[in-house]
Amino acid sequence: MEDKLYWIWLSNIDKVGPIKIKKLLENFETAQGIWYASKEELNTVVGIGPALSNNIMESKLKFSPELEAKKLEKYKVKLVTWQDKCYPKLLKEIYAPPPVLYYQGSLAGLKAPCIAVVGTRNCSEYGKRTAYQLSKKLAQQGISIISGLARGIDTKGHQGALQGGRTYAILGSGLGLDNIYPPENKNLATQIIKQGAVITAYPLGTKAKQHNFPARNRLISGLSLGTLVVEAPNKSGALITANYALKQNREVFAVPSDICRKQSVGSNKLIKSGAKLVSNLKDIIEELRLEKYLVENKSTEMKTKKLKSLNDLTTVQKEIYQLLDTEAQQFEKILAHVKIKSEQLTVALLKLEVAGLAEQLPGKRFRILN
Amino acid sequence: MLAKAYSNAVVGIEGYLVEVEIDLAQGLPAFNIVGLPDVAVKEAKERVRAAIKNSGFQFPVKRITVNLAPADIRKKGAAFDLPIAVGILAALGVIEEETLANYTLVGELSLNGAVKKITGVLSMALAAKTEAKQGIILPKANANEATIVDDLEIIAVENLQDVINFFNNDRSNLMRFNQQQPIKDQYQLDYQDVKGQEYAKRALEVAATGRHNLVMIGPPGSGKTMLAKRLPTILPPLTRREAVEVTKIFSIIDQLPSEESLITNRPFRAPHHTISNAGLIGGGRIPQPGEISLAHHGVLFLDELTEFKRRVLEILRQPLEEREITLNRSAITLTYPCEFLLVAALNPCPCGYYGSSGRDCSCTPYQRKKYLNKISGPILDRIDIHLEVPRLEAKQLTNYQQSEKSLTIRERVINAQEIQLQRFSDSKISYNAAMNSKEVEKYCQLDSLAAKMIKDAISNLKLSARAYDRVLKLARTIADLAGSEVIKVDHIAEAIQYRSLDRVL
Repeated sequence: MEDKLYWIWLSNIDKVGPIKIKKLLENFETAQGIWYASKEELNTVVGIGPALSNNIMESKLKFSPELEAKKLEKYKVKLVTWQDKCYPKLLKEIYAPPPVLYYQGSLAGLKAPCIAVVGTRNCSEYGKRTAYQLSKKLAQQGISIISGLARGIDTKGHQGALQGGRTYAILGSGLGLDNIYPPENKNLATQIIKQGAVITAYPLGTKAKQHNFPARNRLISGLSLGTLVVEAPNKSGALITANYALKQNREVFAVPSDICRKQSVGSNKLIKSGAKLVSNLKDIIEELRLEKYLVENKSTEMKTKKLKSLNDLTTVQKEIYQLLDTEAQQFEKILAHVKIKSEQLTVALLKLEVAGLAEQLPGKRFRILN
Repeated sequence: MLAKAYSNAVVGIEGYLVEVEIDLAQGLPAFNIVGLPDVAVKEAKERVRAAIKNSGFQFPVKRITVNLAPADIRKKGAAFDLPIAVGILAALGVIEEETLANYTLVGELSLNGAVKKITGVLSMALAAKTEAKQGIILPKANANEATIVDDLEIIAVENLQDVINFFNNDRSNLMRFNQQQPIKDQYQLDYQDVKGQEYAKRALEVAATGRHNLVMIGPPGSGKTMLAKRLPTILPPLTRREAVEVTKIFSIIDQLPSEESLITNRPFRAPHHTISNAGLIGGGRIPQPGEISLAHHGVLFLDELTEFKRRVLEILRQPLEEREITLNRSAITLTYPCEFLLVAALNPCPCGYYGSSGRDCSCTPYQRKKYLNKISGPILDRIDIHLEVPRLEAKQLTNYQQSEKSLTIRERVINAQEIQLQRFSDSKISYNAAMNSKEVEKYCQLDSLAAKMIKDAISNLKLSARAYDRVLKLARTIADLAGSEVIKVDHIAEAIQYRSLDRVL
């Protein structure tokens, strides 16, 4: 444990990045070893000049292992370093992987195949639905879903995965001190900790800054076998992630979407330039040859439950249920097709909603829930 | 030589009697007015002097003292011109004082002796009646307004000479209480003109019945304003008492329509969102009623709710609860009634198209959240119905069957309000919306299915529990419309649909 605390120091020295750290480790073997090295010894290392060794010596003054241990305990944050066995294998393969990962939860699920689900924050209903459903189905197959806990597609991806299995959120901020961004996803983060982990390369208490996020995207793709882009406009963080995935020699998948929407320009462009088009779960499983990982399908239980609630409906409700579509429809449009008063339709629709058969969307629109 | 005339003045919207005493004494010629007169009252001197002279009388070269009693209330306006002039003439012996005591006089004088229009005549006439005066002498331009008051002679005069003629037994100017004045409202608008939007119309019917405040959320051009403007047409007609109250308020700010004596239509006020605090709730050194009081017994429509300054909206909190507003100023403290139905309208997001089927919204989730957060929780807590008004496609608008007339809807509203009045006959409130949590518990009995429905809704639909009381109140109104004693599952289900802002959609 003690050595790990020195890793925190090591990963935070000014102008000393993963490459320099690697060089230092070749000479001194452990982080603790580097801590106890003298200035002269440091100077002899190739690539570390007098300026950097000065930096290293100075940074020691600001660091106290005891204090750091206390903080970790207080926020219940765990550490994993390069030298640990449970450091994610896939991540180790990328260029300059972060020497230290801070996390809350469990990293066990990262041994299973991982898929990143990313997309725009300002997504459409279609994007939300697709991200949710695909993540849920993937998670049910025992695949871990990696995403960035942002609004929109990321959130839906996590939520879907939570329904089916494990999910991991990679943050652009440090853990502790209620640093979760965006704030409305705090509850989601707590859920994720129970069914996976919240992971970051940033030290405790780092504030969420704009420039942290592209670097965070590198880890999302780096942890995953493939990156699935659900909806992305022409300029999007999701495209940055996809780009990293290519550089890291991983697969890129994209869900096709409405060619008229600006939210889909980027994701459709990916398909054009060769990303695998995904319309269902199989597309991903086959491409990555993950068939052997598949677990038993548990959704039959769901289906019988749905059938039961369908049988409980009155004739009017059934008629309305038939009218609904997966595409959202306006209340007035449905009303034009039935011979009942508006208040009766209001009631019938709410009953369908409560039974979990239909869903209401903003703008008084309704659609079937599948 | 001492003479006394009577006049009326207005504090807030209530009139009171003012004694105008005139004393003509020997001494250096002077003209003094006492009894807390404001500048306009003091200037009466010049108008009275000229009017008397130009009506063909001699202005007395004496020391004239005018006392306006009660002396502790600040007098304002030009309505005392007429009683002062008539009082001086009485002191000179031109008018007999005995008959003068039976009447009150109000009116502004012009230099040539003509009597000009004043404000607040209805309240003055009502005060004259409570003080058991035989009649009121007032400017002809204001006469219609006063004919609402029964058992009071209305003497409409055009100039000072008319007043003298009247006291010399010329009764040609006498008008009586207008019997032919039944309370009959007439609206140019009708819900029949609104094509489609059946869901919205139904929600407005519920709002009108239980006096539930309402907020409409919809993209531009969806018909929010059109729907709101027609709300007064389905509210029950004003009672005589209510009509008089409304007319009084409009009378003191001089906004009565000229041809009508009594306002019979329920007011619909739609202030612009740049309105100031004082404009909304009333204000001024001597506070004048604001938009909320002008909407008394009617509808206050706040279009583009999120554009209103936050502080302006916050001051609505108390009047929404108390149904009256007390304005404290150093000179005076006044209370105006403001029992209005609040209807607000806003777009679903800054660009206006969130949730529209035809067009995509270009706002980020953060912008949307920030936009809706402009309305504070306490204000939202006082609004029972959240109504989404989507924009209809042209196809839907053209092949729509005939809509219901406002009158048909109004009949149902009146019937359901009858039930409420009976229910609350022992308590202070008269409508479902005003119930407190104890009354909700007492009057909102759910049958077992309904109880299960609301529980399921809270767990399955992410309905916030804070909505619970409000849903019950709404369900009570919907049950009243259906004539049902107990709240059934259908009533609860409909009520839940009217709380869309409480749900995460």
